[in-house]
Amino acid sequence: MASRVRFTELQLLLVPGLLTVVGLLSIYLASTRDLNWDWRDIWVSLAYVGAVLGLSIWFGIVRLRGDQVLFPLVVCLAGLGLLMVQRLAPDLVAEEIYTRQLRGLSAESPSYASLAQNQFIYLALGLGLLLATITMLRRLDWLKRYKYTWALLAILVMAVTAVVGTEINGARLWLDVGPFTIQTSEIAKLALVVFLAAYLAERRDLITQNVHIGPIPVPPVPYLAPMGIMWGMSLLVLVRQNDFGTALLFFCIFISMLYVATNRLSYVLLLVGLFAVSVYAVSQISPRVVARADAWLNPWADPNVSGYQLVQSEYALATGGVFGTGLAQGHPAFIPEVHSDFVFSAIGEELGLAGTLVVLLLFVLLTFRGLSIAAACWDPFAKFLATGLTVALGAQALIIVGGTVRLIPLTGITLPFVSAGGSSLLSNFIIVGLLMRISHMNATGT
Amino acid sequence: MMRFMRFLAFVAALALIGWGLATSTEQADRDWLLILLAAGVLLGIAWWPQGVRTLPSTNRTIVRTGMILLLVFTMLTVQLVRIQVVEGDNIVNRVATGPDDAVVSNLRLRIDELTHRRGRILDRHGVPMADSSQRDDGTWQRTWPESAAGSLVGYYSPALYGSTNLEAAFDDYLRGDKGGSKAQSWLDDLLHVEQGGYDVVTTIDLELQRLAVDLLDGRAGAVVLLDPATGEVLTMAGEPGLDPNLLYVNSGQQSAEEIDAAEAYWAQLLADPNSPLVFRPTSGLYNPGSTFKTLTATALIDSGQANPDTIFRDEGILEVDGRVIVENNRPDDTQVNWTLEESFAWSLNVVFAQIGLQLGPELLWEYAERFGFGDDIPFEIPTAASQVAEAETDLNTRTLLADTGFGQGHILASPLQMALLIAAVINDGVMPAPRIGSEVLDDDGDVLNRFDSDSLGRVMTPETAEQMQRLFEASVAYGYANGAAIDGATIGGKTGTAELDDGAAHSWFIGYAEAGERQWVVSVVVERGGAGSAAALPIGRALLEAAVGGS
Repeated sequence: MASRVRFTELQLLLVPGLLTVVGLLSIYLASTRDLNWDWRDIWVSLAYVGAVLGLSIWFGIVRLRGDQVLFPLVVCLAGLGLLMVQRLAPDLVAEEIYTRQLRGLSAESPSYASLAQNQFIYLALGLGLLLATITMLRRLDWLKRYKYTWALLAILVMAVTAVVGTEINGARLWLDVGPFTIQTSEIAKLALVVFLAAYLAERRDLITQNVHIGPIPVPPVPYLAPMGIMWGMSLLVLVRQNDFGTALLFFCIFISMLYVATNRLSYVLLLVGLFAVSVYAVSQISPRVVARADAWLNPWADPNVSGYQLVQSEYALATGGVFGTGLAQGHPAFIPEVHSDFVFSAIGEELGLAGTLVVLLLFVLLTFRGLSIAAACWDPFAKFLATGLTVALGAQALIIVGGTVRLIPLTGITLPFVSAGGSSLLSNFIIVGLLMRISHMNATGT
Repeated sequence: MMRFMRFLAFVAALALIGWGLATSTEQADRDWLLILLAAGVLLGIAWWPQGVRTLPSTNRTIVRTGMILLLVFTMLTVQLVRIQVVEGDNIVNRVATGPDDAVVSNLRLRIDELTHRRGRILDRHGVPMADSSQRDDGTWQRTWPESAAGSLVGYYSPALYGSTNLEAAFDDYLRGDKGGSKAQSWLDDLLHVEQGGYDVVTTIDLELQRLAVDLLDGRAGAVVLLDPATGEVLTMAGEPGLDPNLLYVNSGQQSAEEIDAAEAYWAQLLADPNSPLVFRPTSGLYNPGSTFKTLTATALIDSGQANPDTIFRDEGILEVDGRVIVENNRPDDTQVNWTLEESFAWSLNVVFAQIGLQLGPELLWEYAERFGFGDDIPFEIPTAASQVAEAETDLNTRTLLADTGFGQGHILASPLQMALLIAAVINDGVMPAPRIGSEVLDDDGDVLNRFDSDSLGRVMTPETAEQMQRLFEASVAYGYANGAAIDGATIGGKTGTAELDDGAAHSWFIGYAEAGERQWVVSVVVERGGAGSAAALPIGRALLEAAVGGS
């Protein structure tokens, strides 16, 4: 019988553990400009480190087998996110009060006041969900069985949001549920992956069979249709909502799952072609898309309006240089939405190229661990599910970072685990929980 | 074979990225994005997974999916390296203007102005011309204690008007971005040690600078005094000047009233018909009058067509293609034959008109170019290019060629240009490169960097230079510059009276002093000052005397 302690995981957790404790301490010292401190000043990090070490020990007690690298990677990213929000929140509050005073508004109860606390609560909830996913999801069968329910759920929540959702920054992507505001595309993302995995696992043989009309091979349209409809409807809703980032993410998830399941490069090429055509078509009718493309190619032409965010983000990244200004020593709060969409630029300013490359490397490792879990699966459903979930994480990071460094147009989605934002954090912890559970199944052969 | 192709693709991708970095200017430049795409395809070829044929088909596709994701992560890395390292400095300092005319610049730089000490600008004896002091709240403030050096040092107004002259020229050192050891600043950067700016010691002698401004006494004009052997500028004054203290606006220290006052002062400077924003010693272009005869005479002697004893005829009048040039400068109207030396000393226009015609357009143009006419003078402060005529072909007109020969025509020259002209004469034919930077000092006063003397090349043979010195010294000995003589020093000089279409002439004087091993060169212009001997010469003489006396 294998040891009950997950030694690899515990050892690897030392790195993010030290990072969050030392990082928060340096933020505290830099902001007070004083060498006096108390353990209570960094209780947030201590609690976080305690929680993740406790979780790892608990995983050992319940005899969780399988991957021991995934969890430390995610803890590292989330720890970095925790640091950034602790560091940015005071600056954002100061900035908000300052702007309000300039406009002659009341400076009381700024909306960012509870940002840091909220993020800590979300993080705790996320770890709870991770634990729940791992311990409660004994079998994947029911996920597979209710595939059309998931598809319906995805379309439903997005449609409801489109109609009665809350609008923030000109995009209606959030749904008010009691005290919480949920970004429903995060639920849809999970539901879409589960549905596609189940559908592809069931119909793979039919989909890969070519139907011939005369000598010309054509794809088996009837079997592709449900998938296409599901995917097309979600895209339609997202484009209508101006949520291009999520639309692009869904496209990446869809295309990679289809490719992995069918091994047909022709499908990929066809879909990429279709996507290019539709992007072109949308750009012909939507001035918003054109403005975005202009801001991408040359934000300096309109540095005060459409290019403002990107210009400020670029100043921040360039200021960072190789080693950055140091935590709490830069001025990332000049970038609008720095805590969510542009947290990567804040890391770039304060931790430099060293910091940004570490973040990219963590995502690369995360992607490779996820894909290797997928490769080890014998059950097609689990395999496609693991692939889809991994691509969901990796591609999301690529899309937002790509927008930040202007490799592609900027779209407002979060950097998984690092950006402030509850829904995204929770759904990504569920993804990691699922991957760890699948890895456990691979290891135990259940 | 396959392995070699993959290696080749990898090398090609790297080369393509390197080439793209070198040629494109922007990280979302269309060309650069295409280069990145092509490099991505090449990298894809190089990294395409091998040996996956043995895997089950689904795992094959998983491996390839991973490879594609890795490829995109690599592209992100290239972009990041580009933004954060390769073009970091450019982006940090970038200023953009939007269609709404609003200017966007990096706010961090403005905050740095407040929290970092900007280096001082010192004269050659260490007296500050621009100073930095810390206020009670810990922020840094800049002051300019020396009104005589206000225009020379230039204004520094980071939040409103940018910077000029020395404040702009030595900005990198004053900020501390340049000058220190690379390793030390890298280490300081790593450890987040705050780096202050470095002090810049100039070659300016404040005593002489103050004297020059006093002598101009509020009249518009310019004075340049330099050491012809090294090119070190000792004095560079232009009037009317400006007070940088009144334009200083950084972010946050000034009250609304002070900012309003700065804007009002700026508007006043812009509206002033005397253009105080033009720094006259380097950017003021004047007709040089008879001081230009230096160039005509040099061209004649250096091309072997004459020596100081060569005889020229001056009958008091010269007709060139129907235009009549009347001689007013002869001390004796009955004398017709004059040596070149006498002609220079008495500044005979008819003789120099003939010399101009004798030289011809090509030779005159060639010598003017040799002396730097037509080009910006390499110098720390921006310079305006002097001209001998609007275009070379203009000199084909014989009347203009004759006028140019004695210093009228369409010639425009800056006081610095004329100073360099005579500097070459006393420096045995080699024109020095002017410079104003001397040393860069760190916090402890240790020298980090020393600016070296350079030359702009030989413009005449040593023999020509020697003969030209005879002409200049004759001008002081018995000619129009004879008021310039100083006991204990060899003085050469030439006055100029630049006739204008209307009103009083610009008064010019260029001259040198030699005492023992040391030499000085002065160039003075007083706008609308009348005869050269009346306004400019006394200023030039006083400065040379002070320089000789002070050494």
